[in-house]
Amino acid sequence: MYKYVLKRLLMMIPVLIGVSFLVFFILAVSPGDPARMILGEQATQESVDALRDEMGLDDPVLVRYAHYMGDVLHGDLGTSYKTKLDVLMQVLDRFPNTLILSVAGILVALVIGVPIGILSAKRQYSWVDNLTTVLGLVGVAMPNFWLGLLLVMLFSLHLGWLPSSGMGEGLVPMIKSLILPALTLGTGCAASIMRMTRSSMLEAMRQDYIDTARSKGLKESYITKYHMFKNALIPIITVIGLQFGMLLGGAALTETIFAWPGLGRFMIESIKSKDMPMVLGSAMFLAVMYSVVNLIVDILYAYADPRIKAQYKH
Amino acid sequence: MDNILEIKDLVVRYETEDGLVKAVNSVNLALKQGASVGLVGETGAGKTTLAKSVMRLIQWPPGRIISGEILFEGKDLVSLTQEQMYNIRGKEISMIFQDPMTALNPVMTVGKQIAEVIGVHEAHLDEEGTKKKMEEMLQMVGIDPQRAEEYPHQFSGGMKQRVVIAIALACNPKLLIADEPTTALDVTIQAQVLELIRNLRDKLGTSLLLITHDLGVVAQNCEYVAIMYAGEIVEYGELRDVFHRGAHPYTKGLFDSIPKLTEKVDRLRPIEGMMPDPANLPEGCKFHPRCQYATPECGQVQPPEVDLGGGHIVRCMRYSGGKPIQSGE
Amino acid sequence: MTSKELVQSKELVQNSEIMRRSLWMDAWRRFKKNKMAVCSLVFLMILVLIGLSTIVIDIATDNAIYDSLIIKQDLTDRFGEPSGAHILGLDEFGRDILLRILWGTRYSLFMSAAAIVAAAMVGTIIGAISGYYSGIVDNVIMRLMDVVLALPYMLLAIAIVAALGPGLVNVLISIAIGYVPEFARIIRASVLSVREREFIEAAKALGASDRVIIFNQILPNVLAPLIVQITMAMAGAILSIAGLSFLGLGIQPPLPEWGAMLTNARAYIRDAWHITAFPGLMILLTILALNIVGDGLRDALDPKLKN
Repeated sequence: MYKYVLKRLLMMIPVLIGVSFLVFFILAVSPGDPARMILGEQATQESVDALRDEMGLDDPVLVRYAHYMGDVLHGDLGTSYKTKLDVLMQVLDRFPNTLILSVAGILVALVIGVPIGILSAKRQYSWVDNLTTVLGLVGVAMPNFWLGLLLVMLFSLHLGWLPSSGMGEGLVPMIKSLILPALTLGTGCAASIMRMTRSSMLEAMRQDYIDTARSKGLKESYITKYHMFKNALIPIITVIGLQFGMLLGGAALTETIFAWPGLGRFMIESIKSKDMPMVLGSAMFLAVMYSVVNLIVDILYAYADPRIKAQYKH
Repeated sequence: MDNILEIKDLVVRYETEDGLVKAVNSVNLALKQGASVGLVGETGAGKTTLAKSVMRLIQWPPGRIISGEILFEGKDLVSLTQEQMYNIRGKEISMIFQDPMTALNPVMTVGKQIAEVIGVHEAHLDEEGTKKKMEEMLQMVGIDPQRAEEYPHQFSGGMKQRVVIAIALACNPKLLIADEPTTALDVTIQAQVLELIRNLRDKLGTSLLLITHDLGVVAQNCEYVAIMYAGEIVEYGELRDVFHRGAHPYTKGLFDSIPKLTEKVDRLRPIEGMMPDPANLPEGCKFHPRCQYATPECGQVQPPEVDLGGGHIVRCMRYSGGKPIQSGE
Repeated sequence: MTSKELVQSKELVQNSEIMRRSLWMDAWRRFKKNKMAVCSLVFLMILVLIGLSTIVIDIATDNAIYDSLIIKQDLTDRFGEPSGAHILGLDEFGRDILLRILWGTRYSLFMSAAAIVAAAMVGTIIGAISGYYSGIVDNVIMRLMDVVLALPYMLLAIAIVAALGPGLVNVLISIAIGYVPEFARIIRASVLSVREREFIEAAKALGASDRVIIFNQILPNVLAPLIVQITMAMAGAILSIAGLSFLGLGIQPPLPEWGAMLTNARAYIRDAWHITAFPGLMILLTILALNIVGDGLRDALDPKLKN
């Protein structure tokens, strides 16, 4: 198993290089002159040129990328154009909030998606199944920022139960302020996870080994848990991993609606204020985190499926 | 009551999008205590459905037992609840499935899969005892007990089928249903697996319902034969009666379509035509469109079961008066 | 090659065409049975008609209606509740929400379609080359695609818009790039599976060039998964466009894009529920319809996959 993890870690390196280069390339070749941004409109062309030279902006992209990555490996993501603050510190300051929100979102999605998916598969063609199929379709199609607005309308404005924005201080207010964003973020995932759970359960139910299990005299509830679900779990883990990555990357919308002090919202604000080091740092960080999540999913995958584990025994 | 299993007028249907599939149509079949019956027929004749019906494994939707009785030691399995069936399955009646490649759960160790069935039915055993019994079963089917912690993908097809057999026989069932247990295996492995079943049966005294489309397998393993066609048993009797005095035109066709060692045959004679679609069965005798002896009557009347003597039963209009009509053959 | 073999090859190629034609007829017959999918398709076709008519109206009236009803603000009548005159009410600048939604169809529906068709075309070419030539070409291309896929989709789109700046074309590009790898993968997989089949051998034997084989023989055979994927991806693209616009990174106000219409809704959420409700509902319904049609198409085109 160590070998497998090690192998996956090694395989991650080229992906990380590729992803970081892509992000760097997209954001570094953007129009607009960073030197001009820093010095302001009044600065003379000479001083701008001098700064350009100092920053290495006229070097080829690959050279600039190498410099940037060299700095990144030393823990230096640069400084903000606007606030002159250290980017890494700013990113690390916001990221835990995004992580809390994403974890809460995926928990909501799991708690809703998995049991309903199983129930729906076990009662295929029943009214429960039809209802959840429709709800699943609606859930997947629901724009989550719109759902967020609707939830604010209902729970904050109409019922007054939960705060509509910000992150509460202290545990209970924090959890209260987390509920609506987590629901907003989790609903779409819940629908995806539910659909995947249903279809992979149906797939598992059709397999011959279920007949074998039944012919042993095992109870149906036991078969559902240990024979169907354990097999259905493998594709479900994939979807959960994918969804979690999307939550990390897509939390920007939810964070904006609920004024949640996370990395996504921070990145959007940095984009609006054209603070490129901040944007680059945030995007880079989120991209790396996404790859890490994928790695974790791959490892969980091997735990769920002995066939994959076996491939890496030697 | 010396019949361990008696199936009476069993009707099983699948309701699919493409229509009503008449998989099993008023089947009667009896199995004597300790005996073995070979159930022979082409793919799609309803053999597996019949076997699964005995285990009550037909899942609704799309399939269900419409009518009939399945008497196991005198009690009707059709009328039992699922909870009552839990005590029958694996303990009284066991089943071996066709394809060992897919019959085992890929994410559970083989040891655990055998231990499961012991665990449910032998409540007096503790964890240690269950494990010991599981290892004994592995030993019995010729697998090193040390491999108990391995997963199915680490086993070959023949070894997997041994595991399946170990699962089926772990609780000394009175009746074993084997659904084409060797079809998916290599010829040499086939012989080994059949011998294993035969030996274990001798040791444990289990009755056997062996489903196959291989008449050779039947000849070696069974005392009785039932020939199934389009969801019906068209002929039933002792092995030699059916093999040497096969009465139904379909039975004859089956024997003519396999090569014989003792006779010089220039050409095999396959049965003309195809088995009818079970969603669209012909009226009257199901075989009449392919039968060389068919009369207009055959297309209208469902032939009754006729006993030719000594429990040799045939369903064909040619014998409907109890007397075989001599053909010009 | 003997003349007999030549005839056989020709027959094989022709048979593959005949089979293809009957496949589409069968698929249509199956699709028609799915009532939800047919309703959704009708809904989408109505949207397309609305989108086209508003464009025709704008051209015919030289943007007179567009300027006066869709863009122009009327601060005397803000937040008007839904009423007989304004069925869906008025927005924060006193504009009729229903009209803005109708005029916004072009952005959500046509822009997403344009982005996805562009992505599909690029992805198809890349995937076809990758699958057909395999070897090192394939390896390099697919690793590149993996890198794009290794970024969360929304993050990629945000990064591209951040670099290029907001605006219609930039949004289109940012959406399209993210979808290229998915199309490339699907096409590559299909090409790989089709490539070894008999009728391709036959076409090769008849002396067809690589390009002819890819375009005349292979691509028609991968059309089915392609169409399904286009439908599904369009749903995703609409969501992304709306999301980007909502964040202020996409289509900018006062253009009546559905997501952009929601940009200010958060601020006025206490004052007027209908500003939030209707544009979002439109997004939901359109995506829902696309997904249902996509599911229906998939089931119709590949009945084996249906459970």
